[in-house]
Amino acid sequence: MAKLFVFAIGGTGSRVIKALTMLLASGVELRNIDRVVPIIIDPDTSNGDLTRTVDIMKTYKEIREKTFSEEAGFFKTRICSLDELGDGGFVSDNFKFDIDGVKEQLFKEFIGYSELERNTRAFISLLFSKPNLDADMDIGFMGNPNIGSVVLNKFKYSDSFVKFAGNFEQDDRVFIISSIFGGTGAAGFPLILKNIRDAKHPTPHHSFLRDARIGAVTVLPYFAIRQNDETTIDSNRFVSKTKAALSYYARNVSGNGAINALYYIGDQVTNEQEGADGSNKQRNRAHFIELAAALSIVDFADLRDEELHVVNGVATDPKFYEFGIQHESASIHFGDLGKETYDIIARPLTRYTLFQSLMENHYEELCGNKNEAWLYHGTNKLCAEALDARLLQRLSNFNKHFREWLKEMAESNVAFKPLDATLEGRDIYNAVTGRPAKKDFFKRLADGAHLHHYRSVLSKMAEKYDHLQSGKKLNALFSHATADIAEKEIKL
Amino acid sequence: MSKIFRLHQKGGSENIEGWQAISGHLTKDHINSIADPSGSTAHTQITSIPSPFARMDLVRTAFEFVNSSKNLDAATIYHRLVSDCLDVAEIFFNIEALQDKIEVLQWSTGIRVVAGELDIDPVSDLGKLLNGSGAAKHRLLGETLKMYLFQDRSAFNFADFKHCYLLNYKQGPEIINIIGGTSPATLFFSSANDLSYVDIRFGNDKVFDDHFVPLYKRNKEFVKYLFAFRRSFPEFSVKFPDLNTYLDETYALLDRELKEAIRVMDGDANAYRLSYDLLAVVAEGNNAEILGVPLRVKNYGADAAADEHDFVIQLDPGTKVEGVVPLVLPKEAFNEPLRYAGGVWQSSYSESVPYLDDRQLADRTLPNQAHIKYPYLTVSDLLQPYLIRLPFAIDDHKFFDGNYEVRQGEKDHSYVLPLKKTYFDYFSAAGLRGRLPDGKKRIEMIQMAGGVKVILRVPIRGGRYIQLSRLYNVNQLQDSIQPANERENVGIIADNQFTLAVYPWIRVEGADFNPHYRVLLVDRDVAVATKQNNYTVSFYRESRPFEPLRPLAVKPRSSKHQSTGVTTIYYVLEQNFDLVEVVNNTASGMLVPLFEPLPMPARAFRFAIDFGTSNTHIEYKDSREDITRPFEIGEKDVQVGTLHQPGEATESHLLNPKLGFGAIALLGIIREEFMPLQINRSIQYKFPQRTVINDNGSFNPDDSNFALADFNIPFWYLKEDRGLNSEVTPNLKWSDFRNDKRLERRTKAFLKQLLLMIRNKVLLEGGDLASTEIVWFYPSSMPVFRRRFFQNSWATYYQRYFPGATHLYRMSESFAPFYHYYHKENVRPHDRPAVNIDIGGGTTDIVIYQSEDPVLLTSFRFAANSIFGDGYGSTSAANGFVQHFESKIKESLSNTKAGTLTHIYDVIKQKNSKSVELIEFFFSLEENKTIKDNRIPLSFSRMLAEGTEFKLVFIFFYAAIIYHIARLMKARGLEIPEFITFSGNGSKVIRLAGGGSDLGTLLGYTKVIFGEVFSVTAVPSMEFRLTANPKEITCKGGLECADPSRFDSLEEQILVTLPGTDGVTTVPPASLKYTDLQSEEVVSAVVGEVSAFIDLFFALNSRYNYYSYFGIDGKGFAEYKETLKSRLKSDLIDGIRQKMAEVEGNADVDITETLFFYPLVGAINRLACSIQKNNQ
Repeated sequence: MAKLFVFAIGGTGSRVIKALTMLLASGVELRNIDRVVPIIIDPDTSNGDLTRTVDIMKTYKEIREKTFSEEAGFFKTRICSLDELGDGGFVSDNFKFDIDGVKEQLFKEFIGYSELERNTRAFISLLFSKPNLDADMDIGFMGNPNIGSVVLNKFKYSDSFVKFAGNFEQDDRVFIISSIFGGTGAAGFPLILKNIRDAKHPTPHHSFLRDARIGAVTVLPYFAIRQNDETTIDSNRFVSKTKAALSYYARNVSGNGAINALYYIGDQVTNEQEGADGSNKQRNRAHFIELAAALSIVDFADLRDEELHVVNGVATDPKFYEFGIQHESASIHFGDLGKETYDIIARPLTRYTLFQSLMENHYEELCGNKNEAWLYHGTNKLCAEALDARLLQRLSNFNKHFREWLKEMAESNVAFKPLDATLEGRDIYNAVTGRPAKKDFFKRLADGAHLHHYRSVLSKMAEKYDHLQSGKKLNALFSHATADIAEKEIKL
Repeated sequence: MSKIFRLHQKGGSENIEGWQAISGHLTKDHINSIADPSGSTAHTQITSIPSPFARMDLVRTAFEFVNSSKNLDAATIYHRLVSDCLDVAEIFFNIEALQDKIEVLQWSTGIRVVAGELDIDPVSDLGKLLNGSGAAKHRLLGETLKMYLFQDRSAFNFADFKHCYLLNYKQGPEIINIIGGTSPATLFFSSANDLSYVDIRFGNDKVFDDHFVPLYKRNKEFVKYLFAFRRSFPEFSVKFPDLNTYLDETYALLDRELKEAIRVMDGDANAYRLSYDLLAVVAEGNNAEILGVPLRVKNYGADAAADEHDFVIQLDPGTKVEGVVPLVLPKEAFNEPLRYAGGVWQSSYSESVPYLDDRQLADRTLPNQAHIKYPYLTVSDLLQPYLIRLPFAIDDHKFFDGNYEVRQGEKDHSYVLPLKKTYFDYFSAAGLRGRLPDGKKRIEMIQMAGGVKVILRVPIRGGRYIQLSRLYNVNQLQDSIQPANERENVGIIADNQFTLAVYPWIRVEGADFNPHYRVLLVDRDVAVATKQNNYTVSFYRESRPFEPLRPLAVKPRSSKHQSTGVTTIYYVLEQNFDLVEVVNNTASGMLVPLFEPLPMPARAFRFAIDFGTSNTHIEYKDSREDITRPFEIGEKDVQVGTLHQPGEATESHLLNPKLGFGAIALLGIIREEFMPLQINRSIQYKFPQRTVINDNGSFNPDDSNFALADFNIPFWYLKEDRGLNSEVTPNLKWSDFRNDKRLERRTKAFLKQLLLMIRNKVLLEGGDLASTEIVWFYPSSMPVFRRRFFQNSWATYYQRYFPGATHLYRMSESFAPFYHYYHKENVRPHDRPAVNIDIGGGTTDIVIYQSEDPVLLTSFRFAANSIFGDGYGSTSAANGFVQHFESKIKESLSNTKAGTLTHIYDVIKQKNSKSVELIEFFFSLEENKTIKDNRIPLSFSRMLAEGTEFKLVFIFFYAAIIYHIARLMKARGLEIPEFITFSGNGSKVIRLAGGGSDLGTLLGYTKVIFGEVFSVTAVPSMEFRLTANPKEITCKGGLECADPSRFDSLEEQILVTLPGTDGVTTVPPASLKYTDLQSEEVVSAVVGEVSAFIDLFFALNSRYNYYSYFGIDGKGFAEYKETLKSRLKSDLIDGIRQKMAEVEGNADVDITETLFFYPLVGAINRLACSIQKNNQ
């Protein structure tokens, strides 16, 4: 099976890959792919989005290591870092790519502007404005992808890139996530694309690279920055910038066969976020668009190899995609989604919501009751004492991120509010918006009825997965139990 | 209703659920459909294009957006980008005019194709970046550039992108300030930086500002250029599709005329190549290109388009400008919306208009429109830094006074027009003096508290004008002149003392007219601040104001560093001039002479010139009239024009001590060295005038010399105490110019000045030069060579000054008086002959006629000078008259207000000890203005007439002449004359001999002599005619004679000489050649004859008692007789030798002068001396 190298560039890249991680955790599957290799590229390494995403992916990896089995429904897809590939030589952080010598200098220092010969200096000073030249690299490119196009090109000389190239096999795929209106992403996407297509000796596997199957999602503006004194980002410019960049893409990215599949997504700029010039303040709330963007990776993985043919670095049949939902709504529910999307995410997200809800709200309490069958029966018990404490802690951590993610998407504009992850007890089955549990069921059951039913399903099924080690059993049991509930009780 | 997560509006009815494939990528149609509410007001530069070449791409995107918006005029960020890009293009287009601000740099990509693959030439700028030994940083930068160049080559035409040409704004804030460059995507692109510091304007638009200007609103030449560029660019629409579309959109909006021009040009594939210049970058031959097509720029050699300017000056009629007519721009408040450089003048523009632009007119670029090379005039082009203040009022009838009015104080000063000559390249003198359509004066000079404000109103198109002004401050320094500051428009008043005298003050236009001008500049800058000044005067015709006329000669004559205290420079100019430029070490100014039109030449004049030994006289008449008049220059026909207002007011101002002692010399030197304003009977400058010429004594006779430059006739001679730098030369008629070229020059100069004065009189009185007749006289005794010298001189100068005239006559001096007496005084000797005795200074001419026919002519050198002169080689120390009267006269003078006149005498005596001159001084005193004004009773002639001491001398003189005439008549068988008439200035001595107005006594004496010679006791009646002005008779006679030439042959026929060897022989019919004179036989015969006369003279005392008739005491007679006889022989030989010297080389001819008077010249001199000694 093939690997999917996902280059997540800039803040948007981090957030989309976070969404992807959430989907993968929930059980969304990637076809034709057995491993996802995320490479986060962001010179702004202290970016809040980035650190959160890295944390989430590390947690995902640990949870998967401890819970994966053939029966597992959650954390199924393998996410691995570049380091884990090939000879295992240490490159850098697991997922992050650090650009050396970027920090603590200005762009003009980065390119050695003052030492340039006069003519070249003159030419560069025409290509780059004075604010460009004076830009501080520490805080990203402040929406100046033209700077990024130079700075990020350092990536090409990095060990990461060499490692990526060396591990890139003929059937592997590349996916690039970027936003068009920021600094880093907008620059990094064409740059990585061009570097792959432009790969030459002595880059390893350069012929594979040149003809690689490459997909990309370019995120167009979907939120506005709330103006404050701390930012130089003027979101009013987002659209103008986007149009200019799209024009460039049209000629030099999408229009010239450089890419096999390009996914466009964006929204009318209505959603306001607190503005910040990068660094850890840039920790934007999760958004449905990011979820949708993450789904483009699912879609790309779904494409057959034959559909992604490349000859001499040029895609023979480049494809372009846009995303839509069935019903326009200020608050999107599962029912508003297109059918395919619904099919992909409705059940997994519901299932994982049920899983995390029980784990977060009731697991500890239930562990106090030795008669709780699914916890204490069988060889491999699922009680806290039996499970790896580290796993529980990681799960708890991941679930917290998951809830936060859902909550943020629910609060964003457009709001994505298919689930209420905070429900517990007797309302727990009402978590899916617009899909309350069966009516007769309400009549029959009293207080705590949902939880009671949930526990009985678990207990009924627990025996079936008792051959699995506790961690793996937990994954398998909840995957199947929540699937059953979602299908039968919530009627998804 | 479904929702698609997209920004664009295109295909809004599609139904997309989940990720669904769309038909293609997002193209410009999609992109353009993205609503961008903030885009129209946004000012922040867009930087979202992920390429180092983002800026190039962005500009193309901007064109794309603007094209699709179908509105070239909006204010979006894209319109800004397009406008900035066009600014860059227009700067390139006008690069030649922006050299001082912009420098073009070059960056080479080194892109080339090697084996079908793109490659970078290592010696290119990019190649050096990639391969250089420089930092890794540079290699990374190079690699990145290279990758984008290669990867994006099709969209940017990078494969042919060899060079980028960069505009470096030299006056920007950084070391390098690149404001734009060439682009392979859109031809040009601009920098994203804030370029508000770029001070370049096109029309009303400042480049790179917030006012966006679409192409169709830009300079037409520029628009046309871009279309021409497109026309010549292969596959332009493929390579520059967005720009191509923009040009199409632009074309639709152009005016009909420009459309047509472009349409026509589009038919000519060579238009671009032929109409525009290559742009050489870094080195000649290294020409800029875009994708291999030469980038051409505006050819500034071609004509600028004047029709875009309302500030084009309105040339005055008659002025022509080769090439572009410049603009003049308002420096003072001006808010009329006039067209300027394709835009409209903004009131704020005035601030940028300089007072001074150091560049050549042709190299200038317009203020606020630095890209436009177009000539414009500044205040400093038209107004001088210094304003020259003169210590007198300008004669505003002769020179334009610049409309200066004295508001406060006395009218004792004026200013030279502080105009630079350039002014007259465009405007006429008449225009300058005129008014503008609104009635305002073209120039005004306004007296202010601290100086003078000069306002110049320069006409521009459409009847408007631009007012320029400069304030000239009073110089605050004592010993120097404050520097003016033209850049700040601060002028300084320079106090200078000079004046001009222009001769003649006449202007005649006409191709066949030959002007003869003399212009005198008098420089009396002697103050500490100005004494180093040297002056230059240049003359210009209005039709060629840029080229000074070449004077025939420039003659410095006096120097202020010597005793005169003034410097004089004479310009001899034989061309008409309209403008005068005066330049000294510090200041310059223009003078506009106001010549008045002359009457139409309709009259014919005849002049008679009696060029005498001592005095010269001119008479003239209108050929239609019967009256003759002496030559005069009166108040109404002044021939000299002076810069200063002539008259007593000016003279008294110049005596003001604040001007420094001696400023009056400004005027005095003009009289001394040049010409008096008037010459007439009511003043002391008049004819007859002493035959003397004045010069500085050091002129170079081998150079060209000019009357009224090197020389002048000193009308003041003997009358005024002048002559500080004058050497006055008398005896011009007889001077030895064969051996002294200086004398020849002087003599000729005298004749020339006379003819110049006559010529100008003719012109002023409406006479026709070609019809002017001139009669000149010569004494019969004048040797042939000398006569020929004068004849040639008169003929040459007559031809020169009276072109086309053919009526130059010569006439024997002898005949003219006869002619006058016969025709005008009714002396008609029908019975017995009449004798006219013409006594001049040097010669006495006798003509005897019967009826109207002259029958005998004789001439001899025994005249007034023989009495008052110094005999043969004597001096004034032995001159009886000088010795007798010198102290008396000086004493009389020194006791009066005319005491200074004694100084004149001393000067003459010092310079020229010839007694004749001293005596002439004595005679002149009674006519002297000072003497007359002070009613001083001093008259030399009265002293001589009333005193008896010297009467014997005059009687002797007279008796000798009458005796000789009588002997001659007798020898020729003529009767005793019926009339004796007198003429010639020397005939005044007749009155001295006769004792005043009553000539009866003398007549009686005359009859006695005739009776003695003719041996008759009863002498028939005889009549005398002697007028008050005997000198004029010759001229009057000459004027009467219709055909003087007929006397030429007559003279030869009737010239008879009684050699003085006996009382019978006359030549002809006898012959006596000069070569025979020195024979002892001749000498002793003459001595005997003379001796006999002396004996007779004293013997007559018994017949006609000298005491009773003349009051002469006879007690010294024996001694005087001895004196007279003492050296007869040696005096005769002196006289003969003198004559021989004169006729040298032509001595083998018969003598034409009697020898009788030769001994008497010396004798009479000794007689006076002897008398003086006896009367001490």
